[in-house]
Amino acid sequence: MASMECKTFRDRLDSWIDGEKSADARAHLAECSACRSLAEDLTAIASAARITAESDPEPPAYLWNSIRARLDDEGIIRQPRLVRPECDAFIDQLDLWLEGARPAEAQSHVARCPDCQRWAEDFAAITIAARATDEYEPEPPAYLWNSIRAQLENEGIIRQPRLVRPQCDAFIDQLDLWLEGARPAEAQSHVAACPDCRLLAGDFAAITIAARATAEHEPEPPAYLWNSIRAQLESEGIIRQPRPSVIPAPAKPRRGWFGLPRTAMAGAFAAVLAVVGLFARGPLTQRINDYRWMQGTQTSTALLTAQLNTVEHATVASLRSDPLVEASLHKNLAIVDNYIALCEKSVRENPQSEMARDFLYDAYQQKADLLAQMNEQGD
Amino acid sequence: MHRWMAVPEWQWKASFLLLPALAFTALPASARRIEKQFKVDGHPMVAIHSPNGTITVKAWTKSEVLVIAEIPSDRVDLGAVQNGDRVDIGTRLLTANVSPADVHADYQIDVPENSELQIHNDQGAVSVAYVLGDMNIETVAAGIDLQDVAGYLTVRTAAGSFSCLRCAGRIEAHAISGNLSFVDTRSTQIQASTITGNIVFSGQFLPEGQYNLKNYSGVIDLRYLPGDSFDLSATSLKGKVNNEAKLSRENRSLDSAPRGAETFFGTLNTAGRAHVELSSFDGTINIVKR
Repeated sequence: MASMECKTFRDRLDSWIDGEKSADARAHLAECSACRSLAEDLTAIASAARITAESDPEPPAYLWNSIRARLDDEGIIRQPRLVRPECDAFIDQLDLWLEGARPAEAQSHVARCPDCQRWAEDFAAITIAARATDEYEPEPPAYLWNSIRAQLENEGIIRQPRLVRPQCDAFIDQLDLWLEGARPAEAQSHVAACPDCRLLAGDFAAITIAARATAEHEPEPPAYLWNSIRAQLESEGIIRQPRPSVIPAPAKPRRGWFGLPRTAMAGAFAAVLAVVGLFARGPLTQRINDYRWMQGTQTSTALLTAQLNTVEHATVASLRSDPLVEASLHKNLAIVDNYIALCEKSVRENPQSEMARDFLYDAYQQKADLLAQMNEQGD
Repeated sequence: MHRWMAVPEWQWKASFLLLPALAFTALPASARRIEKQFKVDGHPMVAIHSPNGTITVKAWTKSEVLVIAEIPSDRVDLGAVQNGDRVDIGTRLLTANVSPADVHADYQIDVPENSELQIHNDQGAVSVAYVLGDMNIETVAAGIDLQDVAGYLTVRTAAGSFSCLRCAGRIEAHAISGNLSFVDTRSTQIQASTITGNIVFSGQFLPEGQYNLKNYSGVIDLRYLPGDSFDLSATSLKGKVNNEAKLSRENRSLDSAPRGAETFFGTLNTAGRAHVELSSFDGTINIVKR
């Protein structure tokens, strides 16, 4: 039997990967090492992709765009979307559309093309939801409050006034409202009379401000949040699922690159991206990692900052020393605080920088040491 | 005749006699000198706590600790007690109301050369020479001068400057706004950090020695001789690195360095390398030939 040519085999490669192993294809592979190697590689990728697809059905839309754009840029894939040039042009301009730009051609295309109309609607809904998520986070969650308070109480940094004084107890119960700006007359008079509650309110107000400042610096929601938002929007029927209807449903699952199902292709892309990522860190990966590093740093420093602030209040209040020595200590405390602020800014700008984090931790260490030294002065 | 010439002779004589007497009554404000001596054996530990004044410690060959205190105020006194080989020296308050100026006391202390020292001084100056035991020194604004000392030296100061001349052993020095200087040191390990101060290192690079110098905004000067051998890593996150050394494997702004940082990695000579790490937040690092 005459063996087929390489070109013919590669044209039918998707069938081979799907398991349709014809006799002439087998014969060709037996004698062509290049095609055999290619078939083995793609079969392995497809297999890995199917496993990945089973555990993670779909990457989020923006990830698709980012992956595709990057692979396009680097010439790794061909551009299948050239099937419909008008759709392609619209998708290229989707970012502008979502920002409110409405060129005449795009408007007329969206009016005619139901697929692009859905794309635009879905992405607009996701964008709105994501912005709303970003703005939401008025204050740290309840568990964080409880954890901070419990830790401070455990370590004796703050006293537990509510066990002793019912008025303090009532004030603490209303502390959330106080921190939101409510100032009932009884609370005001109690705070004026009670140093413990005044200190407590001051500390928690500082923590709230710090937490809000932190929340404002979050660059964007992480990937899992995107997935969660989309799933929630889809489950509530707020958005439709665009992808199956972008192209009329074929008899077989939609085929993409070398005829792989799209979910499998997602896995393949992920595998390729992982390899590519080893050599070049893409901006998307970097942003996600930045976010994760930032979260880790904030988690590890939030409690420390609160503790240092509390110790600072107590230490400064009890400092009894030569005025010159006190002045020197205050001046150096201001230097350390400035150092901490600049290091925090540096970490926010570059969360993955180990050196920036080292400087930040070092700054905290310096402050702790200085406070200890000041504490000795007060003894 | 001038008016002063009309002063009777007996008044002149009386005033000549009175002047020294008046001067003598003024002396205690600057001349109360107290000495105490303690016999010690083995490995003495001397702790000195003085809020204000100078502390000068020197090693001598006797197995004794000699304390000479000069205390201007009569509201404070020398407090020195011995417990075995430990001697605690400090300024003792005699009354409840004492002004900051009253606690001024200057100490000269002679100790056996293997003494361990713990010194706390807020303002004034600390100077230690020829002592070979471990020492821990803390100050707020007092400067610290160490000369020809050895051992495990830990120094912490807020605003004081630290100078280490011909020191050996292991040195850890941390300041906030003070400067740090290491000249002709023979140390196997130096860790030095300051926030806004400058750091100068002009010592020996011992084989396998570790030298970590770190600041926030000052200048770090590393001075080397052409024959020195070390692996160097110098990074200024937002500042500058000026390098005169001909380093092999030199790289500038490596991929692994933080974004935007200026970095040098490299090796100067290869025999018996020391490890030098210089890091600054937005200060300048100079690597210059001596």
